[in-house]
This record gives sequence, structure tokens and C-alpha cells, in this order.
Amino acid sequence: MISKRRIILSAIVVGVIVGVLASYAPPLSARKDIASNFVVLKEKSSAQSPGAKPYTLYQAWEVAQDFALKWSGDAALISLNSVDVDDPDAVGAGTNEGLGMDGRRRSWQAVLTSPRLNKQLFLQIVDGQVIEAIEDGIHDPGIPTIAEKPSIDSPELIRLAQLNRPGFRGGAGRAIGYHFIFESGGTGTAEPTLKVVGSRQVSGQQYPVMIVFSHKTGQFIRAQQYESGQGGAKWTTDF
Amino acid sequence: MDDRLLKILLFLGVCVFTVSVVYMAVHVRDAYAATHYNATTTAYAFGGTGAAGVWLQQYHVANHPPGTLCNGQTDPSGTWAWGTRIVMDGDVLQHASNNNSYYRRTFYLYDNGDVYCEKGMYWLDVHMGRYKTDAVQYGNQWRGYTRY
Repeated sequence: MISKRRIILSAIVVGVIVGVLASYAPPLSARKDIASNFVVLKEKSSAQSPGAKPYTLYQAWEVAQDFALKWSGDAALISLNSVDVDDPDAVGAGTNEGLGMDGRRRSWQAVLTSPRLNKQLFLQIVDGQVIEAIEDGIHDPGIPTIAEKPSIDSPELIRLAQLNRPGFRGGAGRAIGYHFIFESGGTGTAEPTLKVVGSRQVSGQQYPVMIVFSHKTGQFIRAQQYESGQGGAKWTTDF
Repeated sequence: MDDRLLKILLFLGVCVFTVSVVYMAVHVRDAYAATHYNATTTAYAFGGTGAAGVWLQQYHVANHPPGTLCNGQTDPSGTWAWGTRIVMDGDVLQHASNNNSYYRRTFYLYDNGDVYCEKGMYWLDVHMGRYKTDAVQYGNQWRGYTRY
């Protein structure tokens, strides 16, 4: 005869195992809203982070490509950029101005599109892992995409930015540290661009600045400063 | 009820209870902060390059810059990080470049606006791409949204 105590103990053991497995298993089916294209493919969870693993632009691009090509074989990149959101090191403006000075950031966002699925894909990459994946919107044939890997990696972008503008430093205002942007349409044309966003000091005041490079040639295109003026704030021409 | 059936029921009951407790404990610990707001939302077009330095697309939104005062109170949304994800409670109608209409619910924060806080706390401005008509038709809408 099996005792009640033994039954309860074995039920608890089985329950703990099943509970833990269920917690970490992906959902059986993605959450789908019929009225729109909004689908959560992977829900954000801190359990997926393996600890601090800052990635370069190229490494983040590889993670995004790997995930996106499994999503759809024709997935094409619209933009990939580093962000402060979900970056445990980027807490509070002005607290960590040197963040990203080595060309590495912990948190990245990628936007891709698939003509076949007629959808866009939004990825949040933290510490080298896709922690969130969302489908939304539709494939827009008018938005240019980027077929190639970044021609310059972020550590080199920082070096080039500081070479072109020696006073270039980490972010001011809302952005913390240095940020990297790889996007299509950044010049208002289909040409992909690489950008480094930071700040510069002018008469004791710190302004957000952005240094733009051609993805195709690797050449410096322009440096712009974000200023408030009549009619609102805007990126001014070369400083 | 015979003894065997009772034992099976006891096993299943304890098992289900344990699974629930463990599952909830893990999920509560790992949940990222998500907060719901109700606020005035508007729309704009032809944004060009947003305050974060990215070329604005139809999945982008703006909100108040840091330190914006709304009726003497600082709008806390001014400190939200670039890249903050916003999910609207309801769909937003947009148009692709070929004029096809579609719905979108997910937006990412990459721009600033309304520095004098004419729109109130937690205001959001949805970017409509080059569709100024969509922005005008959107007007002022009181909407619910969740910040992730």
C-alpha cells in the first residue's frame, strides 16, 4: 500500500518539475488579435537574460538576422539601433555618459519586414538574446531595406566619429552614452546610413549630436546638432 | 469512493496546486514592468529625423521631452527611455506607401514634442509617415495605452 505521505511528496515533486518547465516553455500558440496584425511571438521576460553581454552593431545584426530568417526566409532589415530601454546599465540621464564608448551596448532594437508574410517584425535584443519579438503593421514596399551586413562595426564607428569631431562625447538629455543606428532612409533616400549619436559641449551647454556615415562607402557624410529654436527643435546642419 | 480513486484525486490535486504555485512564482519574478495610461494622443507627419537620431517611420511616436511642465507638474513620461515600446489599447489606422490601409498597435518612442504641454500629461504623438491627411483626421483622441 502506498502511504498518503508518499503520494503527496511525489505529487509535489512532479508539480515543481512541470511548473518550472511550463514557466520557461514558449507559448503553444502566439497571442493573436484578429482585428489587427499585432502578434506577440515572444513575450518579454528577464528570465532569458544570461547576464551582462554588451554586443557590437555587427553582433546584434547577426542575432537579428538569425531570428528573422527563421521567422521568414525573405526577411529584410529596415533598421537596427542601440537603445537605453531594457539596458540595466542605462539608468538615469547623465549617470553613465561613457556607456558604449567601446562600441558595445546591451540593448538593441531591430525592425524587419517580410513581403511574403506582409508583416513587419520588431525585435528587442538584450545581452545577445532576442527577449521580445512582435509582429505588427504590414510590409510597405515603399520603405527601403538593407540587404548587406553593416560595412563598419560600432567600435570603428566610434573611432571614426571622434576622429571627425574630436569634441564628440556620450549622450546628453534623454540618451545615455553613445548610440549606434543602422537604418535605411536616414538621408531621406533609399541609401542605408550608419550613425553614431552622442553629444558635444558648446559654451557650457551639452547638445545631442549625430555623426552620419555612408554604409556604401564608409565615408563621413555630416555631423548634426539637435537644437531648440523657433518652430521647435530640429537637427541643424553641419557643426 | 474507493481508496484507489481517493489517492489518485489526492495526487492530482496536490500536483495541480504545486504547478500553479511554481508557475506563478516564476512569472511574477520575471515580469517586466508594464504600466497602463489614459491620455490625449495626436498624430503628425513628415517628421524626418526624430530627436533620438532615427529616421522616423510609421511605427514611431513622440512624447514630452524631459522636464516638461504640465500645469506646474513635471510630466514623468519625459524620462521614458528612447526605444520604449507603446502598445495602444485599440488599433491605429495608417496607410502604406502604396495607399493600402492597415492597422497598427505597436509604437516605439523616438521623438520629442509639445514642449509647452498643451496636450496634457502622458501625451503621445503618433507618426503617420508622409500621410498628413491621416494625421489631420486622427485629430485629438483620448486613448489608453500600455508602456513596456
